Amino acid sequence: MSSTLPLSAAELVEQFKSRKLKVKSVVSDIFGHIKASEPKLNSFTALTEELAYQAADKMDAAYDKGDALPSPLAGVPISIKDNINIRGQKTTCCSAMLKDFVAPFDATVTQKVLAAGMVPVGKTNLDEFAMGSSTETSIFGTSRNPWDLARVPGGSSGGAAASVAAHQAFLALGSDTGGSIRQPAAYCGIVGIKPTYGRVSRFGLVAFASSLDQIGPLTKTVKDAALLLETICGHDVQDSTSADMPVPQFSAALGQDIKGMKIAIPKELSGDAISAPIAESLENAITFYKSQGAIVEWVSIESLKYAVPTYYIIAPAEASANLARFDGVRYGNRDRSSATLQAMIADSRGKGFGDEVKRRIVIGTYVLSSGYYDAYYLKAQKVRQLIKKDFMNLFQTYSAILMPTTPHPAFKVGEKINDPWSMYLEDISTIPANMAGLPALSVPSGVTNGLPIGLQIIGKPFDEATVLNLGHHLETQFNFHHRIPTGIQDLLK
Amino acid sequence: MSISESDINRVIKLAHLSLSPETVSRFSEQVGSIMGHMAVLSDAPIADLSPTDPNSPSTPVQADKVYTGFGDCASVNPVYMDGPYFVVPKIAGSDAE
Repeated sequence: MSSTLPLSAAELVEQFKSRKLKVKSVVSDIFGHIKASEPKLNSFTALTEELAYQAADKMDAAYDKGDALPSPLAGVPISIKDNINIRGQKTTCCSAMLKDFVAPFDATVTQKVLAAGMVPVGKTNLDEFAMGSSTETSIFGTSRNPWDLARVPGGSSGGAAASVAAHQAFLALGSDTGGSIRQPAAYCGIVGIKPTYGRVSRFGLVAFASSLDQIGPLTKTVKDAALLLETICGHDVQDSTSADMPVPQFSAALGQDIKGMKIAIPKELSGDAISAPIAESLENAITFYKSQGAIVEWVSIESLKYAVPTYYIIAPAEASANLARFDGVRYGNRDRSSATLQAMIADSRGKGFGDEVKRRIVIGTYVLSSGYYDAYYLKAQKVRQLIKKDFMNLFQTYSAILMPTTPHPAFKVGEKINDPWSMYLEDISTIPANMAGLPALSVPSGVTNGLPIGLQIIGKPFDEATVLNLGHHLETQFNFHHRIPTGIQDLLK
Repeated sequence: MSISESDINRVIKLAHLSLSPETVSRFSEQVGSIMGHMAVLSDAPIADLSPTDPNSPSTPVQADKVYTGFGDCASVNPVYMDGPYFVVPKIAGSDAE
């Protein structure tokens, strides 16, 4: 198999520019590698070969002629999570409910990556409707962690993370409602960023929890993440929650001096709350940032302990409303055996949704129902403001917050699937950034027992540049991205 | 905390979901256990907090006003008014289509 696949996206583009590599030959190598490795990994729900080769030919022509390129990522193969629309392709959300749904339009992010000349190689696996932390709730089966095939890649963007870590794609688009980009990025040893809420249009993303969902990049390096983020950001009239804010050149911020920058470390997500290797990785990062002249201080964010319970009221409440449209009439597969309209709707939903989705619909409907609304939903919304206030108070003094992305490395397939609360606690470090709408990056920070671990950097609203710059500094310490995961070393040498 | 099977049956009717009796029984136990973890929120110091962003307007925006005082995140786009109505950007049939 080609030795070019472990390159970063930015490195690959240099090869295209010098014409040492053709886009089409890389795409051909990618599909060869995907087909060889999918029996092990199950990262993809569908491949988009026709689209990929069309885009590859177009970009090769542009490189050959020396035309102006549409973006710094022209010709780079990218995978797209299967809850983001590509026109004419299935968007299944890995649910029986949508297994036959073909998207009638492109998501705004899809339009942008296609216009930028990127090459879509396929749709990636996820937990059903993005509800999960392992991909175990997908109707297509569990994706596997390329570093240990007995373990999960994380979720819900587990297929996206596995595809980048296993060099089946150079870039991926995922979505993050409570950590669904950052947790799988940490488990698979890659970079993942959830942008500020409103930074990226959600038009064409199947909604899970609309006040929390954001689309973002999963990549091999921080530079690649910055370049992809520049491409997909921006105001969109088709998403009223997208922000009309200038989009900086994030990649230009990388490598800037961090001397004197103040970084906070919340003590609530350290010590006994996390596993020893991750605590050690955090200590190493603190030492490194101090060596670069940053001022690193321990702080307390007491409201962090409320984040998971708050999230698991608000997110299911929003999900129960968003998923009401899947009734076999407006959207979704219809159960044709029912005798009445009401029975048809209930049976279509009962058969179309998996257990985790139904559990969350039940929780969401319960907390919104008469007699429980004030005790749960209203209270959770107030606690959400408390969490946001605590973060904004910290940002009066600090430029960024550093914490583990996950409390431990990737867990084994089947280890948590029958214990919902244990699975929900997987998101303990990532949920706070969604609750407060803040940008948050996960960057590889080490390896323990052959498994990657990640650290998370959270920034002020719309200050992705600082977050990416701090991640870029940390990345230089580990230089992780050329490594071939142990689970696929026989395929990619 | 426990949530009875009759509570689950009431909720699934509201949610238009058909579940088998076995699933109702299992969800009763699991959802009850999950909701038990929400009890910690009773300790949160939220007496003075609004359930919505304090930077957002507390009363509906009235005619002839353009509210631009939103805080960060998604609320930075001003709301434009035409008489008593919000102005909704045209999508179908627009140049962007």
